[in-house]
Amino acid sequence: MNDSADYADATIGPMVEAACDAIAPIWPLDSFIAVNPYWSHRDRPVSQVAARLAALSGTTLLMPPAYYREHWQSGRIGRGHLERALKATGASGDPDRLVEVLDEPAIQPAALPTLARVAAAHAAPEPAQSWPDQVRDQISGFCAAFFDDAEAEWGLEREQGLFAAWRADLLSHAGPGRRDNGRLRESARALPEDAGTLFTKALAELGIPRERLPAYLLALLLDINGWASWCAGLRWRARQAGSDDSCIVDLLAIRLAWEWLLDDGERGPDSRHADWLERWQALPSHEQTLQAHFEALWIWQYASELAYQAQLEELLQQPAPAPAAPSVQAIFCIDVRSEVIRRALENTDPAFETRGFAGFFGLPIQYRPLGTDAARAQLPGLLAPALEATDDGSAPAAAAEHRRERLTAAAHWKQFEYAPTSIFTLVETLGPFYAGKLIRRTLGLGDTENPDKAGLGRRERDSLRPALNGLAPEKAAELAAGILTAMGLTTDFASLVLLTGHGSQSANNPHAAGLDCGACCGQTGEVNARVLARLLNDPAVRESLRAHDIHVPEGTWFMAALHNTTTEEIALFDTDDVPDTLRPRLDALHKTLATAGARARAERATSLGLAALKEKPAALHKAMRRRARDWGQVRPEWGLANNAAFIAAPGHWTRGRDLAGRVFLHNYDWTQDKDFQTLRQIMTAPMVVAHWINMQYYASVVDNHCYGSGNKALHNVVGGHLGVIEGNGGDLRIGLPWQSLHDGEKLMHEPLRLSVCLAAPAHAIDQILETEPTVHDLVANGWLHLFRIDDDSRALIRRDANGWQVG
Amino acid sequence: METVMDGLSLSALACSVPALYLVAGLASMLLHRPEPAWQLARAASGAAMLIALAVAVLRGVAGSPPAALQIAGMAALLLIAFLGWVILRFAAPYLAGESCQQRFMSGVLITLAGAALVSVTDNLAVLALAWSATGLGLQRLLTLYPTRPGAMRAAHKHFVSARLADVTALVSVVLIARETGSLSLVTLSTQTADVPMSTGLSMAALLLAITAIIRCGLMPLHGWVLQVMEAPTPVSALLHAGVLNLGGLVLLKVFWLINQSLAAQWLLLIAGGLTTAIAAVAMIAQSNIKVRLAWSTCAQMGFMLVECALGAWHLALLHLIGHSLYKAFAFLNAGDRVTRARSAQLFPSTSGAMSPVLVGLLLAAALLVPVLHGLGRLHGSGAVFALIGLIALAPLLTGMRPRFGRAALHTGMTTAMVVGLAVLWHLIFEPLMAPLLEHEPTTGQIAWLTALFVAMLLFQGWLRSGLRSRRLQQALAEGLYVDEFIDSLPGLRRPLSGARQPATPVFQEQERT
Repeated sequence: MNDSADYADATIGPMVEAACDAIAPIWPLDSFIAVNPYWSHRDRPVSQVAARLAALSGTTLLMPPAYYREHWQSGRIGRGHLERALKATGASGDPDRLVEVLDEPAIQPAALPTLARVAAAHAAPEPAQSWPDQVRDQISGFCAAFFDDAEAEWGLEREQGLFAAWRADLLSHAGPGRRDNGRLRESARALPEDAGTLFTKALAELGIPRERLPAYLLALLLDINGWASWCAGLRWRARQAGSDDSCIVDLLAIRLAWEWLLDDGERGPDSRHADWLERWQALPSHEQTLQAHFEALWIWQYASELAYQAQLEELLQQPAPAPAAPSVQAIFCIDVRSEVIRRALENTDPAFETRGFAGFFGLPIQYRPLGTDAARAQLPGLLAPALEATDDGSAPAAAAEHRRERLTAAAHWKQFEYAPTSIFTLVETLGPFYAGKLIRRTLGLGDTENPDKAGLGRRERDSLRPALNGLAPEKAAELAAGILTAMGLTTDFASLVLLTGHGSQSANNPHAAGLDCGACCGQTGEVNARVLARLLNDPAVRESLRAHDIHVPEGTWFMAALHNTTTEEIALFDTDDVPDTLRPRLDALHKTLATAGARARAERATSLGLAALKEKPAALHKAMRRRARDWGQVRPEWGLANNAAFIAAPGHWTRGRDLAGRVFLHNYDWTQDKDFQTLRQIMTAPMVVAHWINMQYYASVVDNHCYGSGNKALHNVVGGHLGVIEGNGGDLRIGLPWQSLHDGEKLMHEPLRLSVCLAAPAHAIDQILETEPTVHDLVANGWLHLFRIDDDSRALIRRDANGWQVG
Repeated sequence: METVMDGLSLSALACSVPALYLVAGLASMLLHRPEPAWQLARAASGAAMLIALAVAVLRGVAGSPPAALQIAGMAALLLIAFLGWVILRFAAPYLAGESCQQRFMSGVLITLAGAALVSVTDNLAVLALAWSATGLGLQRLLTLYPTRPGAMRAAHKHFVSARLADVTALVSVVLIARETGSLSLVTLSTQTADVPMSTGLSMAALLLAITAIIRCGLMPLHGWVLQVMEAPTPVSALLHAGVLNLGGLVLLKVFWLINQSLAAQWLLLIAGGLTTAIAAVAMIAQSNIKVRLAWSTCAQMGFMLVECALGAWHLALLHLIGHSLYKAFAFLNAGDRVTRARSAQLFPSTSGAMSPVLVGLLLAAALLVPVLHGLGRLHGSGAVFALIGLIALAPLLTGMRPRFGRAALHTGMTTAMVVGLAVLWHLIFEPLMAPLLEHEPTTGQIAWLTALFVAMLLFQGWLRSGLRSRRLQQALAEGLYVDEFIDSLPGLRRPLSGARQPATPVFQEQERT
């Protein structure tokens, strides 16, 4: 928005930037993707980061001792796991001592106080709302109004920038205020007009020692972590597009301004300020105490991960029948939910081969629905789109024109619906008809609408299909060749190849995009699958593919499909185009898909509370469909809950093993990988995406208050699509709601760091670790576990900071 | 004899609805697990809806046409029962796994019992007590999460307003009983047409108006309505759709009192009118969906009470029903906001300036209304009808620009449909409520309403023209700081220590070592 602040003292700038960079971005609800909230801390060991964050904001990265005690008592964590964990982390002690530690009372990490908290402790008379809450509410309410571009028709102007607008808002607040406004307003007048001056002034007057400044600034941002994450997201997306955004700097300035306002100015030896400074001076010892305190629990966490890894290794070492030559190949997203349906399909039809690949199918596209102005990214949030896809059909221009007219009419109607002067007429004319809507929703009639198809008539909806227009066949073939190579599908094509994207189905769900494909930036995989299928069926492209040494047989047909992860149905697209010779295959395919779907639904039944219908496939199908349409259902499906591992290996190494829907499965064959390019691609893209998902679930479970969204029943959508707040006020909530992690009785996601298993030679992995700092940091600092799978024994061989571990 | 028996058995049948709700509410508290309690609650709400439907149908096909008050009562009962059915079916999966499920069920059923009793009873004292009882049920619902300080603050505010309303309602009922010697609503409505208004009755009217103003969440005591988001969505839906509008229903049942008390009318007009104008504008400045809906409710309730004051009882009943259904849907469907935002992003909405000619024409037409009323050419309800119709046309007609082609045609058709529906509802409700509509508002009152609407129209024009005022936006977004002022009064500030400590540990000061 505006230029970054000018600082009178040049050393403050880098410290401010460092604090701002330490906050991970978030995406708005309509393109909700999973982000690792600790992402910027990956360059330090996880236990150190845990201690630092605990010291600065009171958050914890571990489960409470009672959780590990339960696992110990149920036998899920055994003595052997504890011993190996002790050996691996090089800690001293024995398992018995570790068990004793669990019985000690749990201590909550206490954060070093901000001045707001100090003011709260000394406030008399006791106000109705504590100072930290008031500060958070004021900032949050202001940010909601500032960043809102969809809810309020009469919103704030944004030309001044966040800090200046906030200051103006504070000064012009004419009401008596819910706070101790008399004294505050006097001091507020002295607030400088720009963020840079504020930083210099406030930091000087608050007298924080230089060496504590970075930590203090980070603590301030962590105090309003929700909105800080939003601003970090704005900056991330701006930088991806080539510009910059300094809202996060302004936000830090706002929070610092509050510290300055709440400072009572006393500086004597007995003042609260002196006491406060002393605590901050003691930050290093505070961190060390916390780190020592958590050491035992980190070993327990490691042991619980070892327990899972042992299970996984056992599964991988199970013998499996040799695969038959496939008659159908299906490419699925690596999403953990695909594992269940893939296993069901392979068990139903042995000639069905499934492969795992990133859900955006390697297409770096954004999608613009025909006749509209909105382009939506359909690739991972880490990447920027390079191409644009739109809809194609028999008469696209006419369809676009009609759509514009319908959307204009809808926009006018919306004005009538929401204008202050017409809401009374609306109620007195159309109000009673809402009874019909209420009845329909209550009885579960009527389907969930796809918002991207708004403004299209029924015939147009069916006839339009997404396509990459304006791409020459040579360029298209280059793109296709890269994708097919990365998929490992360059020879031995089956007659039918399904490109299966996935999407979820839920009603009345602000977090619906979080259940869709993360690789497609919170959208379903439909567009990517259909675009790629069309591309690969194009005879001109197939001709040009020969130049890349990829010969797609005449009889092979690529088909796009969509896996509905909520109802475990697979829908095929554009079946009219299938050549007549393949019709019988298509009919057989429909049957296979139906049978496999029923199998997958039976597996999901218990977790959805439908165990009674496990033996009744038709009733179960109906019940799951109803759940997907139920507007009061807060748990339509479990999403990626309980994800635990990422495997990149040839398909038959994992085929037929019951991985319980917990594993990201990516097909990879190192013998076909020239210079290990694909391995590098996998380790730097899909693996990182899986890690982000894993860490988001992890953080939301261990500290739902800081990194999760709280209670879905209290969610209140802010800015139309920005995010949710819980209840009436408070910080913006990030991460997953509790209902996505817990079914009311037990936790549905076991917090484990991702176990990455790669079927590749050690030297190749080492080479990539040396040349890719991000991946190296993740492994060396304990953010995930890295293994290679031995070709012969299928054993898991661990790689950590010290190299390859034997035994 | 036949008809008396029918009447008695029908009203007994009608009274079984609140009894059913109450029994189910008490039972759901006693059961050990939530699943059987949900089954009981859903069965009770389903049965209640069927009974309400049966009552309406049976009375409709019975010999003599029902009295206006009976119609209003039956319509309200059917509405309450329908809302109860919808909300309980919504809430069962919505609150699955929460620890507060059974408290929620009992709170909802008790509230529904109170609301249903308000609809069916003929006795004024029972009415007042039932009205208070809904407040008790609501209190239970607002405190479903006692560890949330915001919830406890809102509950405390509601407690204070509800007790205030209890007192005014009680005094009002006592005064009416003393002055007229009867507590039967039907008797009072027929006999008091000729009885002149004594001071006692005027006082009663004023107090009842105050009760309605407090219980409908009008300004200045609207704060708690804005803050109930600290309770789950179905609670907000029940509150905004089923409980707040009982004020309008009660006033309708004592229409004769309000029709004769100029003071009560003006109180309602001023409180209701100002709330309507301020809340309708505050609504468009909100950044989150639930508070936006809450402000919308305040505006609608204000308008409903204005219609009551002007004697347009049939419009008030229509408004009551229409608003209930609209708001229930809007709240329960609030999670769909993101999907709607996605569709909206496809095409930026055009909010061009309104043509000055159009605004001028509408203004002139609006200013004509009180003039025509003063000349005796327009009835009160016709005046109200005309005013809201004219003002509503403004945003509709901005779409009628020739260059938009098919869209303009579409808008034209929509306008025609809206106007047609308005006429239709008017034609249905007016004869049903005919006995109540004999009161004619004064021209001054019509002029006040006109002034409010003209102000809103001008404001809308100003907003669309692109002019901006930061201070005005800030002030109106906060509802002109009225709630903040109320909050700062002693007695409404609830100290922190009242809220229980949260169950999930947050941050504690570490002891100095």
